[in-house]
Amino acid sequence: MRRFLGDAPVGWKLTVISLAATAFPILLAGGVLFVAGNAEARRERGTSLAAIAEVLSPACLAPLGARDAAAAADTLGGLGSLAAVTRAGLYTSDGALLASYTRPAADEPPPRAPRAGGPTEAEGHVTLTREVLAPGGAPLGSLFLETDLSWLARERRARGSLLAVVGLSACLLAVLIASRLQRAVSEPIRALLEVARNVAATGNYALRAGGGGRDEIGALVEDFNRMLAQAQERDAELRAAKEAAEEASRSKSAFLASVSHELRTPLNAIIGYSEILQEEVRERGASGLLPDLEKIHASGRHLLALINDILDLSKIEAGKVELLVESFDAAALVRTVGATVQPLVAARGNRLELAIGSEVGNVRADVTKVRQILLNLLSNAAKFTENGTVCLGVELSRGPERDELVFRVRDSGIGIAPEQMGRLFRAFAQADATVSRNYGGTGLGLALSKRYAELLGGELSAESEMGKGSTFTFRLPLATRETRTPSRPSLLGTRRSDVRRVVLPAYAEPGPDARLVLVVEDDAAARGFLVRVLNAEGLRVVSAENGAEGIRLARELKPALVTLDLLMPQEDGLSVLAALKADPALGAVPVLLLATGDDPQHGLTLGAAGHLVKPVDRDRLAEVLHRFASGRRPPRVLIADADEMTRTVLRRAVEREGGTVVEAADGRGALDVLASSDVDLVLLDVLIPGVDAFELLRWLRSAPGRGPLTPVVILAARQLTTADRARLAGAVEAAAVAGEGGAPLEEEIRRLVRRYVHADARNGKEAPADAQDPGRR
Amino acid sequence: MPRILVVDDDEMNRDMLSRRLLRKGFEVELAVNGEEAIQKAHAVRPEIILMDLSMPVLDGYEATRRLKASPETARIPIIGLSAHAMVGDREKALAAGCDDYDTKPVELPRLLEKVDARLGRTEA
Repeated sequence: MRRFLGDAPVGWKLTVISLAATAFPILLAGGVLFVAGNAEARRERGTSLAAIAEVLSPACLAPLGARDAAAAADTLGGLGSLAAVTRAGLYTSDGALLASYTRPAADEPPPRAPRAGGPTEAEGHVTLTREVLAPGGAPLGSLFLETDLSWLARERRARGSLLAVVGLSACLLAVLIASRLQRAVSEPIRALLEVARNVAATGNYALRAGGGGRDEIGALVEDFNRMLAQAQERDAELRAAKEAAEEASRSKSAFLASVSHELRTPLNAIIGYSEILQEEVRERGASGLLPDLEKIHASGRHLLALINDILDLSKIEAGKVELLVESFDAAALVRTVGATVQPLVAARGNRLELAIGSEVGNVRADVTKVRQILLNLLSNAAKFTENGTVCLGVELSRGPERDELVFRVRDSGIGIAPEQMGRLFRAFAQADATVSRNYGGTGLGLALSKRYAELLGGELSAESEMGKGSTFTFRLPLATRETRTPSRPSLLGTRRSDVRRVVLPAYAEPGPDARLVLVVEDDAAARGFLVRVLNAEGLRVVSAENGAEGIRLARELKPALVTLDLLMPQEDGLSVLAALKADPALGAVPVLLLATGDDPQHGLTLGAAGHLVKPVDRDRLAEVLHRFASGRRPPRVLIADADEMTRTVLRRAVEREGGTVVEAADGRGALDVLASSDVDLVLLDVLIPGVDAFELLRWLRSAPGRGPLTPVVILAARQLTTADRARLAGAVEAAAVAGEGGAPLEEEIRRLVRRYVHADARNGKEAPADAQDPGRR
Repeated sequence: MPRILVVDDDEMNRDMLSRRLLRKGFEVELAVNGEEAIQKAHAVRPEIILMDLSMPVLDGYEATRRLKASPETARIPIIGLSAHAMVGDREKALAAGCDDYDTKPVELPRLLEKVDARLGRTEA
């Protein structure tokens, strides 16, 4: 039963139960009545035969006594009116048949001299033989009567039919009544179910189930509603608690903001006045006071850094940090970070090593956060290491699920005790409380770095051995490769129709000893174009699709010239340039920067030796000076910048490094200096007034003498952002229009290639590629 | 030398900034709130304004909005200064019409860099 009804609705089950409960008793009672009725009918038949014999016997006396067959037949003939009797016979005392009666349907005559007895039932008939006795008791003869039972079958059929009709009607009635009455049970259950489903689906605990009387279902509904009420109450409590927590978090942020504001205001005065005092003390020559002022100033700055770190942490915890995801060259980042921390690392007599894996290329992430993590880890390593090595490495790790860039900062410092590892990344948990006194730092750097790493989808971990050093590993997952932005201006222009207007020169096979040019260009069409133009000039060409590949090929092949797309969407052409120029073996290879505006007819080329970001970091500047100076005589540096303050700052920095300075306030002045005397290095503001910086570069590159080989470092006000690049692209285009009067791109490239590569060959000079430091020789 | 209007309600801040700017050769005018800043901007026509953003009477955001709305002062570059440095401060300042933004305590070289950038651009 359960197997068949298991999945059926409750209403069905109840109906089937009612039906079964009705049908079984009816069938049982009907069957019993049927069988009992049958037996009763048979018995009745026998009794009625006996009654007939009783009635008939007296009438048989006279014909028997007289042996009058005719009268006997007459008496028996009266039986024709009794449908029950099929055969009858009247026998004399010696057993001879005196008269007989046979119903028309019967085919046999009565038997001969049956023995008295009965009624007996055999072969569908009931027979009875009775002696007929004289009044005195002497037997005169016997009477035989027989009836058949065929009527019984008919009666059975009739009774069966009746039973079936009654049974079926009863069942039908039972189903009808049950299907009505079951609703009293199934409806409240169904309603309850509906409410339960609604609550589960909507989470609305305010719903209540109705129906259900005082029975068990009613109790169930009531209990269910009580549970809902409890859930509703708890839900409201949770909501209130959550709101309270959020409110608390908000007020914590507001509190931190206001506290940090309140802390910064007096700090403002401490830092500001100590700076003013330092300036004034220096001016008045009372340098004895300087160390104390510097301590006040440094402590103020430290406190400010602490407040800033706390603020950063609270921003992370309040979920207020926004990630600015952009594509950048990880190898270039490692190099610039290395350059930044170099003085810090060197301060304790440590050596800084950089290890950049060959596969390391571009990554999409928030470059500021990555830089901050690396700077934190490196300054940490530098802090706890003395007369050892600090190594910053990056490599690509290919995993089954994702590729990662793995940054490692390894030091040979004091190491971290195992019991201190656990709280290493917790805020305000420097390895030892005395450490912060001895080594400085806010103690928040690692906590912040860990949080940033997690924000970037990566992880930060540490391993260490006491006395041997520590290794911090920052794993940064690589985002999917950036798809090209179609709006980006290409070397061949943004409009397809313009591409068709560029007539490609015929392909020419250069000889095996032809000079080699490396083309770094991510756009396939522009690359193909450049290759053909350069081949047509009789040059061998190797091309690279991205900066990392370009740098690798440049190192491997030492080309005579590199052309570099400044506006590659996935990387900063300038940082590729910086990387090329930072390599001692490649610093002298001329680089043609190709920058394009929207106009496909104009490309611009310049040979910047690098760039510095303003405000110029003195150490970076010193590094640049050392890179371009041989040390045989003090380097002569041209500082071309409109701003007097910047010039003064730069002059001091250069002079401190033992160089001499020529200043120019505008492009015209710079041109004059360059035309009249040799300089070893030019620091050129990208936005210099008068003559445009790009035009100035172009002029310098085409000038006779050493001009083309003079390293030029571009000064830019900020790190180049997308907006800056757009501005730069605009400036480039304007310069091209102004300078060249719209010479076709192809012509311009040819002209420059001739100037850079062929001029050297014609003059029989040492190729710039082979010269280690042409700026000095 | 360029005339610079320093707007700050805090006397020490005004003192520090004006002393250092004077030493750098700027001509310095002072205002202690947004309202006075607007009066001074019209009266003395500074080349650039350094505007503290949180001030009583009339704050720097509103003062900037009003200065930028007036045709006589709209062209004067304004660098907003705030000690909050919370997310959105910079955006709020730029939205109010500030040409640039910096945080306090002032890092003089960086601030001067911004001042120069603004002055250089307006002169060109």
